[in-house]
Amino acid sequence: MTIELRLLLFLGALFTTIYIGFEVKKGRIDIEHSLFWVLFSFGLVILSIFPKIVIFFSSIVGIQSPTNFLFLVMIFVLFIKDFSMSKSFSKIEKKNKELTQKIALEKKSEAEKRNKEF
Amino acid sequence: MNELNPLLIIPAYNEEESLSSVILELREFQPELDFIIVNDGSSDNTVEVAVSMNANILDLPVNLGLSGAFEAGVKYAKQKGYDCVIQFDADGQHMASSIPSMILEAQKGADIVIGSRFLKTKKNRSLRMMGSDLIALAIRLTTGVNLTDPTSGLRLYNKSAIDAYLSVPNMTPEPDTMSFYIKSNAQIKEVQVNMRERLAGDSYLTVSRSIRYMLRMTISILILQFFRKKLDLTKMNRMAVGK
Repeated sequence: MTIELRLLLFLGALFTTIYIGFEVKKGRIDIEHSLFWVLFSFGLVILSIFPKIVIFFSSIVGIQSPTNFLFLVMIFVLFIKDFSMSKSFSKIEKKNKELTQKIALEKKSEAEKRNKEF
Repeated sequence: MNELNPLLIIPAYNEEESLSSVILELREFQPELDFIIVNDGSSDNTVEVAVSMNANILDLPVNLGLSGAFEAGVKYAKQKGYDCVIQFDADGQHMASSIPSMILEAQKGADIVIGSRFLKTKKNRSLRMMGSDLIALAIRLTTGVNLTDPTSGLRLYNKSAIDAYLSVPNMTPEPDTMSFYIKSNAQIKEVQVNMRERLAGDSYLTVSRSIRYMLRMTISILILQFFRKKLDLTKMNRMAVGK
């Protein structure tokens, strides 16, 4: 890995962490959900300081350029993250659907009860 | 033949212009039939129209889309002890006169009855009908059953079908659910019906959404249905009789 790439990774990760910190402060993202991004940035910082880790693993799987290996790993991680987002989105949609239906059904049964009383 | 206690479920999203004529038609031609309007978080006067006509209404506070609205109606039907529900459009496409023949088929033992425009009449050639053909082909390839009008929104579900609808995830009032029912040993019957052009308002299925809809249906029917846990409606029917 070139020193330029390492510097880029380091600075990118650093700024990402700072940006996320500000977003947490403003309450626009929960700490719970910011953890992934902070850990991701932290990982990039580690790799930019110790590129030997990347070189070691890329030689194991037989990828000549460690940079390519690094990109591959990042794509995998983001893939998994994206899919888990789709999953939690489905879950939230389901909860939203059930709540909406419950509110409507309960309002309905209350109205029916009231009508009976008259 | 056993008597059925059906409920018509009419999901309505911004249908203030057509809803009153739909209600009037039902009251005139099917006065015995219970129906419920499910307002799907409309932003127009759909609720006011229904209330002013003293119609039975279930009012969803936010918009869920057709599936969520219809399912709310099914839940209501289950709560109230109806043993049969009919999915009916609020835009005036469906005719009240189609209903008796559908109920008759259910009394003869069908679990699902689809009001088909093309059982006896031929399909006209249009982009929309090509989509319908493609979905029919996907269903035939994966289940061996030929549905002449899989995208018809006029469908009847009997008690077992209702129970299945509420106990399995991913049920939608769409063709892929028909595929699920076929694979769950449901008896599906089609009856010939006529439909009108919609009276007013925008369809759930605008042209821009059609491609997305087609993709969703074909991928769902051809691939994802294989992974779903199936039920056995024949068995569910037998158990219901045994009670």
